[in-house]
Amino acid sequence: MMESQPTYCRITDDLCSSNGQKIHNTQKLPAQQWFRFLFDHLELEYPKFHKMDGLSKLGVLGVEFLKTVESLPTETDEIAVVFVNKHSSLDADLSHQEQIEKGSASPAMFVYTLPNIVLGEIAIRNKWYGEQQFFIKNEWPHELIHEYIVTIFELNKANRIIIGYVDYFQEKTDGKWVILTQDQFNNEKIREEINTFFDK
Amino acid sequence: MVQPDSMGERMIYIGAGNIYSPLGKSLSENWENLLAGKTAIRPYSSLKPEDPPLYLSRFEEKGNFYTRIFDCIDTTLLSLVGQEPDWSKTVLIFSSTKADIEQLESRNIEQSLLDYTCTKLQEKYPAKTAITVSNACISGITALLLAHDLIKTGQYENALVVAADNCSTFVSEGFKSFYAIASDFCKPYDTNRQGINLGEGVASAFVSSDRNIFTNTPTALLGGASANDANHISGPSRTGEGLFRATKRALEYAGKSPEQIDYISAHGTATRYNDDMESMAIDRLNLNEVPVNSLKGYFGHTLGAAGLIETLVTIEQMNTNLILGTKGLENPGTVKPINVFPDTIEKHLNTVLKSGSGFGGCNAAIVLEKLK
Amino acid sequence: MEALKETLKQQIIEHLNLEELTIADFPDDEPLFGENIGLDSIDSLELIVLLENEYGAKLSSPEEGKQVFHSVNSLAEFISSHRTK
Repeated sequence: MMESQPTYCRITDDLCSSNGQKIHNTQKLPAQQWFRFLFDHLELEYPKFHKMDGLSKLGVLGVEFLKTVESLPTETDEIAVVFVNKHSSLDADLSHQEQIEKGSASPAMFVYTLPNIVLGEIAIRNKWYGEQQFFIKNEWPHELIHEYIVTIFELNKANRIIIGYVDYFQEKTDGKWVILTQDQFNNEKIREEINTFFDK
Repeated sequence: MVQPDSMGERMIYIGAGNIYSPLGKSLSENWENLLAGKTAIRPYSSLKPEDPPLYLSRFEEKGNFYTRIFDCIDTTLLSLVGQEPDWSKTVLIFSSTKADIEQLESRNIEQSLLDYTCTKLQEKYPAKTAITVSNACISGITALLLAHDLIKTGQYENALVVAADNCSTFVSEGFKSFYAIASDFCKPYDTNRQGINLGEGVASAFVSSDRNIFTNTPTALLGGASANDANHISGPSRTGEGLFRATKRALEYAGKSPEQIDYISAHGTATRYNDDMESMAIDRLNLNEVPVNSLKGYFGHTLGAAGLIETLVTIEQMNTNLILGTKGLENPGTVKPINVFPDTIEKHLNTVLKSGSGFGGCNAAIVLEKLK
Repeated sequence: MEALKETLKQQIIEHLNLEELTIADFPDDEPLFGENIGLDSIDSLELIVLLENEYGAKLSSPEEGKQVFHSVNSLAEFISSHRTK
């Protein structure tokens, strides 16, 4: 039996593409407005989105685009999410640092000074109670990610996994996501395709 | 019961643990001070002079972040046969929330990045792979989980797990804006608890499928699980949903039933909501009778280092069949009753749970077992 | 008082990023933490910061916020009697 192809999504400063569908940032909107534009494009009704920092908005949008292609269950333990980035929550960290220097820290900003908050936002949005992991690395750690996916499937920790590179720092957006089942992961061609997708 | 997987009965061991904290510069010094009921927490003046003093567990000399980490790891390696593992079969896992975040005060962006620290570690300890895990206050537990899972699936033989976080103005000002900081010594699980004391520290340990690499008897690491509350990014779930699920899955994964658990090394941050949430989860798991403690009254909350520091103290407790009292506790007062006590008790410890919860709604639990 | 309430509504919308809401969505006596406006625990901490920064009005504890933050009416009353700027 042929395995179905996995669903991908990519969001940069100028482009959002998801399995062939492309949205261009033709107006060269700055990051926050670009995220709002994509949010409106998806016709989401989720006021919490507007309270999030850039990193969380980016992560939530990526998963929402995957969901436009693949219908995913809610109220489940069976979807694992692993994200990687270089800058951790540095964008929020700098804002928080500046607020401290001005003499008044904001709780709504401080809460975003941890990279894994985006995983929490995704869990809340989708009622996903499953395994989550946030890795920090300057370069895409393709061996370790491969090994991590092996642990999820071999140890029966979930039946699907969303893998993401989610980096947002000073208006620079770099997001890549793929969702995989074990069958898809067992296909060597798909594994190569994923490596190419994240490595470039 | 555990589903037999393709790896069969591959056992995973943890040992060679070391702690470098304001309470002691080695595991034995920390343990002596814990047994003596000492705390490293002291009052310090706040950033704003009009604010009440901050109660912190902080190193007296601000010293070099890296010197402490290297010192800690070097001692861990001394407890291995040959004093050096086969690095080509070893993964280095660094657990931290903010590492050297104070570099941001002078806008040293590069040095503040977590991978900057991780790369420095890999330069000195040349493991095949090195990665940072950053999952708020459960980072130390998820680092051990990752180590276990990578070795269980036969992809590595060893893991060097290192955890470190600092007491920074960055973090203390943030928690202050959350009204989550106590203006006195913290009181985990107490009726009058009013918040956390922050702490700093470093811990390191070795995880391996080779029991014979340890010079002292190691402990079995049976694995575990993580789970999200899917409820709120900063407020813990009122029903303890994520912690309940993480602990349940950890027990299933380890093939243990709640009746087999002799002790729970819990999180116990001493905030009203966290401690109530934990009592809810413990109640839902029918673990109310099992002795529980929090070590925050000794070390403060060391964030990304807490999970590993507390796991290593748990192993010391298993080795001595002692359960430390929860320092700061006077009148237990959680929404569901749990078995907490202020003074150290004796109990034969065979199988124990270590759990934690953090911002982002994350929760994790692992199971440890004494070797015959 | 009416002018203060209008300013306050605008500040709440901006400070708490309530982008889907306008001043018209804030009747003076509507519970802020009720279903329509739907603030949460972080918002209440942010309101403490807002009161301090904009009006120099200090709350003694987050518990006090429960009454003060009930509605725009109660907030405006608190500000009028506690403001230092």
